[in-house]
Amino acid sequence: MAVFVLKRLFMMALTMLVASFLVFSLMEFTPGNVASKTLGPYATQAQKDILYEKLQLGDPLFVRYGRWLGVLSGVIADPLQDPELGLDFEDPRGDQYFGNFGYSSKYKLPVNDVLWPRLYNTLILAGIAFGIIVPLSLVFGVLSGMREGSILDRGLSYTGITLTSIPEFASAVILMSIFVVLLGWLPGVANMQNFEDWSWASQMTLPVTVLVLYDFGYVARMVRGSMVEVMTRPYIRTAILKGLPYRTVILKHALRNALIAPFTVILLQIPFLITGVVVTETIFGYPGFGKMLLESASFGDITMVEAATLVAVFIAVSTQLLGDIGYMYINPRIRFT
Amino acid sequence: MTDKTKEHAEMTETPTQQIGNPSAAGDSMINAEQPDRQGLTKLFYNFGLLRESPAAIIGLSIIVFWVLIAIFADLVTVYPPNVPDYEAFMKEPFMGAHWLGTDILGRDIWSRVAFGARTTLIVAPVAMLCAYTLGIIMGMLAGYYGGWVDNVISRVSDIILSFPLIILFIVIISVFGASAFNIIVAVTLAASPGIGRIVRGLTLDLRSLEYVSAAQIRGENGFYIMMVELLPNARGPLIVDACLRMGYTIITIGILGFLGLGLPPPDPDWGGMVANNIAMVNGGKPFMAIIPAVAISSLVIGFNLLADGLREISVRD
Repeated sequence: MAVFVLKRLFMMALTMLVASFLVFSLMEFTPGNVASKTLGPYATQAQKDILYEKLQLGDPLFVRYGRWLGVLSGVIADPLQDPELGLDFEDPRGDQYFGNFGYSSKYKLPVNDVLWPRLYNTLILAGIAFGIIVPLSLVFGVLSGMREGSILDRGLSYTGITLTSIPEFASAVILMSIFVVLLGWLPGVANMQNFEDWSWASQMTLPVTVLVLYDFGYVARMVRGSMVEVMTRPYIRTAILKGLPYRTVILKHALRNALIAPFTVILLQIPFLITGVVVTETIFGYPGFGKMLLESASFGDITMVEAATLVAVFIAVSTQLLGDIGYMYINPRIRFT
Repeated sequence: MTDKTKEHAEMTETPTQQIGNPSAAGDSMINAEQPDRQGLTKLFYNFGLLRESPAAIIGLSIIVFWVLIAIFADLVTVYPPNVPDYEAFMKEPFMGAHWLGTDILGRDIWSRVAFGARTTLIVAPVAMLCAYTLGIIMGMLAGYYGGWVDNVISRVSDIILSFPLIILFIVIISVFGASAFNIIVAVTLAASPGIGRIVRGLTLDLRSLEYVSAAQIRGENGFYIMMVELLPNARGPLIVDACLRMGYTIITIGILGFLGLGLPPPDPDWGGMVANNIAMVNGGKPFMAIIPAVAISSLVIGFNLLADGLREISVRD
């Protein structure tokens, strides 16, 4: 068990390292360099050249990647914060500490000051959505899997297929047309400002609904599939034949076994939720992680994109690890080596 | 991990071979004598099996509809897709000359939807073809040879699969610019590890069968065995997977277009059309964004219904 977790943690660190290097080298191809992006469009070429020299941006890729890793792990000080440069970049945490993601060239703030509040907003959005998706799809999945081929099952199946087929931006447009334009019940933006016009809850409703609609169908179908499979097992037949009430058969015998497979599926849903979050946040102007990622990637803000990549990969990989460990606990037949 | 992949392989393995195998599926009355169907007859027979699933028929009809629109886009439209009509800005649908209305720039929405179908139905299949080629090669090599080849391929796949794909897409496309080629590269990179994993599982199951051993004893090389013995017998689950994946690829292309990372303007793509016109939803003219949104959703529904129907038919007996 400990070996398994250690192995996975090692893979996780490796994945994050590979991912960050991949993104770092990809960002090489964006037009402009850190110096010109930091100084903005009004700086003279001479100023840019000076900064370019001071930051040693002419060094080979590996050296600069190593330097970025050094800044991140707190081994070396962030060169951009050097008072000699006269950039007035100041991180209240100091220029040398563990977890220093550097300075964002787009937001002109320390990455840590932008990243975490944005991530917090996204966690609220995704958390609420997740909190609705899971119970909803469990209930409907189990109900339709209980009696395969019933009208409820058929109906839910096709609803599920339809819902997973409608991309977030399409469902957002349709919902906005109905609830914002036609009925005027909800706001079309969720920028988390002007709470006097629209309450927090009313701003959150549409983004959460869009996320729930897209993921609900998929998870519910997974639960259904697993439930259908369990219902054909001999021990269910035995339980029914020995005269147990149907309720008991479902709750005590079928449910526990049916929920094993969907457990991993639900946790694997989290990386998909990240994609949905990027789209949803962009549509509704929600000040979250996804919108920030898109903005900084199109600006070519390398420090920000690197930080966002590491965080996203960390979330994705750690939920997978959690999924595998949880899977092992709820399914005693599985043992990892 | 291994246990889980194995289980996954088992789950996907059930429908194996039945799609292309009339004796296993289908009408027992007709099949009483197990006639030997080959070539075109077999194709038509398998096609006839679709009748058993209304979902598959509906899905297929939607797909065929859009394919026809895409092929004959020049014939079914009156106005060119990229040229503004200066006398008709933001016209409502079903009124006047433009039957689905015009967008912010006065371009005919029906023309843009039709030509958007063409772009989508070219880019998505090409991307899928590339992803499948790469994925099948990776999965076959990993599954057939095992050992270190399997280890290397599986670890690389694990890393790519644990990457939240949207980040990969955003970075690749914002760095290299938006073009059909870059979208295809991004989709191929992102989708092939998943395909590889499925093919690997199928190959592991098939590898130990007699006809593979027979080919090995006959002295056939690995390439021949993989392409001629293994691949055709793994096609059943792969066809279902391809339908599902096609739906998701279309969604992905739509999302990229919506985020401004799709095809460069002014050429129409559905996601981009939604993005261009979404501002007007709050301005009281939602139809301009709804029409392309409905178009993309219907095409994806078509592929998902077809996939569901195919799976239903293949596991029935």
